[in-house]
Amino acid sequence: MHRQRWISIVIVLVALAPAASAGRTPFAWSYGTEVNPERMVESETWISEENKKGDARADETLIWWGPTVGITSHLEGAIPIEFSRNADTATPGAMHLQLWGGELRYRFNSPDPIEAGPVTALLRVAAFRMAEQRSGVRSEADFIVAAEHGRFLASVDLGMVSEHTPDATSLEFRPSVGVSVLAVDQLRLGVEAYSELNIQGDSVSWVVVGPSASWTHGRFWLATALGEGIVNIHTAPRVKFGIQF
Amino acid sequence: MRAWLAAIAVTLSALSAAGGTITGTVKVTRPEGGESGPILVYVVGFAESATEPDVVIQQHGKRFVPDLVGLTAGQAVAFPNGDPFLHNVFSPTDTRRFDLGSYEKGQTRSRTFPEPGVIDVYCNIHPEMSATIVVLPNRRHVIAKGDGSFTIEGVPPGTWTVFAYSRRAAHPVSVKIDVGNGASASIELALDEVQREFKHENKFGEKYRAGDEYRPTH
Repeated sequence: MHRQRWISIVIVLVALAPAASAGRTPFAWSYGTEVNPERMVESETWISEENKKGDARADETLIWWGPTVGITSHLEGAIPIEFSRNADTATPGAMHLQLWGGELRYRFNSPDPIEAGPVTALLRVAAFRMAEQRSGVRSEADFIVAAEHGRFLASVDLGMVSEHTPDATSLEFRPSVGVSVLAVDQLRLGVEAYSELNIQGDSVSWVVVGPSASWTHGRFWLATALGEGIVNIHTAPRVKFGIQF
Repeated sequence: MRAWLAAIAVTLSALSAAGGTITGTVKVTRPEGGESGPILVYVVGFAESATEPDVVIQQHGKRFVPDLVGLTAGQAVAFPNGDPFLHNVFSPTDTRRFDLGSYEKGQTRSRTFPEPGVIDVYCNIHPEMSATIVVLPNRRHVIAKGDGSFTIEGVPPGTWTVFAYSRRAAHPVSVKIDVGNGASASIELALDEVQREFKHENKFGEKYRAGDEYRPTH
């Protein structure tokens, strides 16, 4: 410390740089554009609620967990499993394994935040086996662009989800957008909007918007959002967290 | 006439670019049994853009070699892994945080350093590995020779401060010097080194695992 103070007398020091790259996400609904450093392993989890959705006033709780690993400095992979609990006015609640599969996330820019510049992008693709419909396949894709300027961060996630079974095919567009400001060291506060829009099939379209926060502490990171219903839903809170090893 | 003026302008420009030369010696007082290391000598007071190639810091024998380098802001450092096991180079320094991930022998990762600052570099796997990168605002910096002598050429005319620094120095030492165009100035600097342990935390801000603690080899 003493040494650094002395040298800082004679050379110009600069403002704080962004934190080192990691697999964290700054928003709860949107995916982020960071990936794990090569060979770094992380346990990633998200839990979300979709309360009083559609005419059936359906309640759904989703739990997603997966180990993620930095395959290269640009690419990470995950092997997630997803559980859900569904209930509505006509159906009692039941928790079950819904999906398991694999996904890849490719960051187009340098993993280094300074060398990457202010605009970064990531492509996520995933394929899941549907546990209760043995011949069903679910595929997901997201294209995420994030822009950072000083303490401010904006992110857009254009997501698509398709489920295909021998009987039916459904397609949803799942866009989300978030803006946040770095309030204090490693704590971001902001607003996030998320929607699931039915394109094909019989799913319910809905939209939420609400406050969000994210925080990093050592090997732990957390992102959370409290989505207030705008269309066809009451609330949709979500928390996402990861622990690096 | 125009040709004459152009020739004069080119000559003046060349003289200006040539600048002056600073030569000198850094005399190091080292504690008994103290480990020697590079001594960085640099001039401050003006800015220049980086034109030098990348600097290389090898990872060899669970050490960074060299463990002190001076850079011009905008230069890059390459970190090749020469050990038959993984290394994970990272910096926790706020001015230039980075994490190169874990990579194996024969692979190289690099980072650019766009802003001046003093950057600590470590390995997340091997706590005994540490290095310092001093990013400077101009190209007038050298590593002194084994006998402490140095020569810095191309210093623009003016009154500048020359610093000498080593990782084991109690603090940098400096002297002000007038540099004339095409002239040579000589200085002597005396640097006191102390026993220093480069203890640090891993990239998560935690102590290294038991058994991995840094044990000085001297």
